[in-house]
Amino acid sequence: MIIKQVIFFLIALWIFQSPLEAQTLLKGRVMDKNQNPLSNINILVYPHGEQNLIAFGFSRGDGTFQINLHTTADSLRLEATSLHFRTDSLFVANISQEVVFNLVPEIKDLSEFVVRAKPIVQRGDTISYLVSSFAREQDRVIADVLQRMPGIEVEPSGRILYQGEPIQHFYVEGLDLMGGRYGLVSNNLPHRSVATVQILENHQPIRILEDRIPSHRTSLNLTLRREVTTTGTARLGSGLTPLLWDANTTPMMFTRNFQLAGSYQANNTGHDAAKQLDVLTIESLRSRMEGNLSRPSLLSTPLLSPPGFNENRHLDNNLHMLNANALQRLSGDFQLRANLYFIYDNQRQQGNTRRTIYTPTDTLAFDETTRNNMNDRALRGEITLIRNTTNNFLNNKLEFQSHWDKRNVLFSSNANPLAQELRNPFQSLSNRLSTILPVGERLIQFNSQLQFDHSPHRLSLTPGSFEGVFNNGQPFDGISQNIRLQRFASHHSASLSMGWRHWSITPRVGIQYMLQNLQSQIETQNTVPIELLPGSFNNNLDGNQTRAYLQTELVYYKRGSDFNFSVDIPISYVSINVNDDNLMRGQKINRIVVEPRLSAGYRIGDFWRVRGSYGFRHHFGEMDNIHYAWMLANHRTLQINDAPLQQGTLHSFSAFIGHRNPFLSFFSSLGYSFSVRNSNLLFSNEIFDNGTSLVVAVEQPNTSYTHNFSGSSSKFFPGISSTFSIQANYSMQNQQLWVNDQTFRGQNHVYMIDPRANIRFAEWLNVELSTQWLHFRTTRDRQTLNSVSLFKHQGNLVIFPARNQHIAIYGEYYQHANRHNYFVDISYRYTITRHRIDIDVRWVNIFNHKTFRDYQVGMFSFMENEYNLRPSQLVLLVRFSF
Amino acid sequence: MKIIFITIGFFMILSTPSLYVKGQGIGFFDPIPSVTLDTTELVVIYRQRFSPDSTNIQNIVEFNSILFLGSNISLYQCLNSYNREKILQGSRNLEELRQGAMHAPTSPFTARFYKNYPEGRITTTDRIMGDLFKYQENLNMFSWTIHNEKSVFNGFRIQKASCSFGGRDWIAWFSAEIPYRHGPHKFYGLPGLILKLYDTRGHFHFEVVSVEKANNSHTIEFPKRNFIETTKRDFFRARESFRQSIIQGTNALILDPHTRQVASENLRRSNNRLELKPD
Repeated sequence: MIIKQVIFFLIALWIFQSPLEAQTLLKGRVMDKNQNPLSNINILVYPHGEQNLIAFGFSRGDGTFQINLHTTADSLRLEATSLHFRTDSLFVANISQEVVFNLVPEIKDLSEFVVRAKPIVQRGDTISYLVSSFAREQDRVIADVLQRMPGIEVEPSGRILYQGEPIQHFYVEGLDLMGGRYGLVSNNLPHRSVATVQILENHQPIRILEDRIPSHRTSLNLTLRREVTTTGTARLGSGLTPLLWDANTTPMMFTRNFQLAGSYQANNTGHDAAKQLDVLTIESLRSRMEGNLSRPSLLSTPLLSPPGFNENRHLDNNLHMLNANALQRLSGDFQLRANLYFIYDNQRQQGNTRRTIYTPTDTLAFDETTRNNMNDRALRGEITLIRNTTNNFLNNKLEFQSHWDKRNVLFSSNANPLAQELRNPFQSLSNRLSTILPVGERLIQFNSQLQFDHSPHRLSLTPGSFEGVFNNGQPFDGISQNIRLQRFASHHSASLSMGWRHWSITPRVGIQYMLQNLQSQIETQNTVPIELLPGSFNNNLDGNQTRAYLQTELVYYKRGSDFNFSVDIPISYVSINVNDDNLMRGQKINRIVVEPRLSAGYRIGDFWRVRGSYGFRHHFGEMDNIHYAWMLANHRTLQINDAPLQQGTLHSFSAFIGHRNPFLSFFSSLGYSFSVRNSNLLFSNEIFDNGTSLVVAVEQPNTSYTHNFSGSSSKFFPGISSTFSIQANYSMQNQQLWVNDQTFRGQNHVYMIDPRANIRFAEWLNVELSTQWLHFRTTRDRQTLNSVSLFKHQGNLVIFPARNQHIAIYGEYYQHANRHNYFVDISYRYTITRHRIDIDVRWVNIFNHKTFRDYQVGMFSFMENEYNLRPSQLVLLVRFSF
Repeated sequence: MKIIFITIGFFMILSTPSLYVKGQGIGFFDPIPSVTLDTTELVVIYRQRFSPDSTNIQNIVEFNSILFLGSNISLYQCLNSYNREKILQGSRNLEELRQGAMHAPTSPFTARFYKNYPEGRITTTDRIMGDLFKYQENLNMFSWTIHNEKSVFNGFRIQKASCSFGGRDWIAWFSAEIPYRHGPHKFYGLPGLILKLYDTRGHFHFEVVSVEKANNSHTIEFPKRNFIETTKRDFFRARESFRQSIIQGTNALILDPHTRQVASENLRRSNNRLELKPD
């Protein structure tokens, strides 16, 4: 019975398993007609009469192959295929066997195919997306929908990225209304008014360059659904103690030939909204940075240096900002764009300072209190005319700025009150033209920059100071310094690049010209009028400065090389002319200067890099600094500069060694820099017992040195997702000083150590800790005058209880001697995703600390500042769109 | 009025021309020294699609990549990184190189895969933060299963195959009518070109958009550069710890907690690698 069953079972097994048992082993060889073995030939196995591949193999180097297959088919078709030989077929029975292919060479004519437009040559390609097919219920503005389109990302700042790269231009109906500040439009334009989003890949915005210089940047264009669109968003916030507000509204209108966008923002919560005018594209940012004259600051009032932490805790402001932008399409392919900004900003600062001054014979100490009321109003406008066609590019930007700034200071030093008022308005008009014209096969580009500005400033002090100079040591009612500075500046330059083997040579020629007039008068106010000698207290200086330069940059560059080297040898002709007609004084400098710079770098092995550089420069004083009669620069300084223009040289060396090992996530570096500065002038400071000083420039050659050592190291520990780092720095400055008729060498030493840790305890819990130790030491002829140590500890804790919520706690602790300062802020945000509403609750300065202390170290002075802070405040913010 | 005339005079005299020259010059910079591996016979372009965020696969990045097929060796890389290289090599001086580097397209991935170089191996080159790395793997690491399903793709008969690789299961559609054993990324070993490839979770998708014969002179080159030679395991480790330290570095730079959350979450979310593990 058992035997019978076993036999039956074996028979059944044989019957049912027979397909598996039919494993076939095909062996073979592939040869050409001369019997040479052929490798890399595909051997394909099909059941006879079918197109289904069931097994495959390849011929090896000796032409042999071996294929295992399991199939029930009776017979098989074997194919030997290759692009270089004619396909050969064999029909065999499904049994293990050896087969031989003999192949005949043949180049196959493969049919090419292209599914889409050939991507390599696509240029100026446009991809259009229908907004309606991407928009969802909760979306409001176009930025929400953009975020959902393939390849597009919108950053929190409003910046739009396409495939990880910032877009170059943001157009609405082909017009670029905002320049780089397109966030105002993308974050406020409702998606319902937009028909399509066009992605302009490989878009060259300067059309004349279209066929000459390829661009692989992307721009974005929105086409509108309706002829006219009007819309906007709003944000409202409010808080307690005292009444706080934060408001923002942004109306706009678009048509195909005329576009308008505006915004009004106001707050008193310590939020510097003017920063929102930041530009978002690299191109606009760069063109803004190039060559505008900065605002002159010859007169000043005491400015409290605000603490280096979150402005919400200390900025006592009242800001109103108005922004309007309009663009009109004109005939003849011209576009006219106007951007207008008006800012009203009132900021208050309050603080106490203990100032210690070390004279060769004495140590003077002053307790000062300062209440600053800064009232700034500014109007800024840009009018841009653009023509952008395939045979002409023109961009002319006319810019005007007008500032009406005023500072009122209630100041007292050792309980002696001194009221100060500074009016420092500034008007400027500038024009920047850039045009490209074709001349035959070539393009010529013209660039031109011109600026004119006007600064009538006035500083008034009540009561008058410097009694010894003005009123034989007797107190008097008041003193004012008036100045009027007018400047004209132009800058034109051109460069051309050439190459020879691994060297690149870039000569650049340019000319800068500046013309200015500085008038200054000191006036006194007293019940008994004081006679002042005009020759001693009035300046009328005409100055002009020309700098023509030829700069040749030579770079050794070989891709993939471990070594790189560059030399830059600018040769400049500098001419400075200053004349005071009233005082019949003047001076001239005409010089040719060569200022070489060289640098080299080398990479050693996989992980080490070294770099070194040397530079030599001539420096010339500013024309503003020359004045043959006295000027009252601030309440503490009366100065005269009846000396030759400052001239000097500067040698600077630097060395760097870095190590980075990405396998261990370990990065370290050491750097050292050293500079020697020679100058023909030394400034003599005569310090009086009341803290005021007379500063006189004297021709006396002197040399100063600076050293700086720095090192840093960081390591990431993947197991605990944490980074630990340490940074250390030592710097030393050594210079000759002249105080109260004595000269000596003063030195400042600064030591800094800064360890940090960033620990992620969990996905929802992040902790950052840092400690900074700072030590200052001031010496006079190697004797220590003063030394001070500062500790700063900082800890941040961020918790994400859910995806739409977060809680953040910031703590800071400062320690100097026996003084302690600590601050804690808490913020909570809840986002209602469905309706795109953000609710923010912020409790700033929980422990209601009223003051903050910090320190400033000078060469012969030391200041301890106490800055008044905003009181503890609770703000609720709601953000939505309409 | 006088002032205006003077101003205009200034434009004319001081505005100095700078020139653009039309046409292709001879590359000023030598191309990177390289070893010629093979002559290109066929150029295949794939549309590659993937979800960088495994928690939100609706977020899709789409781009083109290019496969150069020689008779023995193939090279697969992002089309943008190939174009970028061409733009940089075409520059005639440093200024053009700087311009080129600024405007050249960026690449969603920087790796290059050289299949069957050296023989029987795949060489991968990639960069992390400016450092170049190189590692090798076995070419025959794919064990394919052939399925019965068939289809037609642009006139080519295609058949289904599957394999496991890098912690994912893959479906490939290949055509024996194009007898190259190569495919996108590292994929290799089917008896015909892979025309479509995707993973079963739907995170990665490749599809051929064009197949063309190469022009006669195009060759597959391997650059002679200072590669850090490593193993796949060490390379994956370095890449991951670099990503993690970047996530933390971002935290240190941004003050606003919301921005910080978005930034580090964005980085954390781009977590979806094609190869989830090194073996």
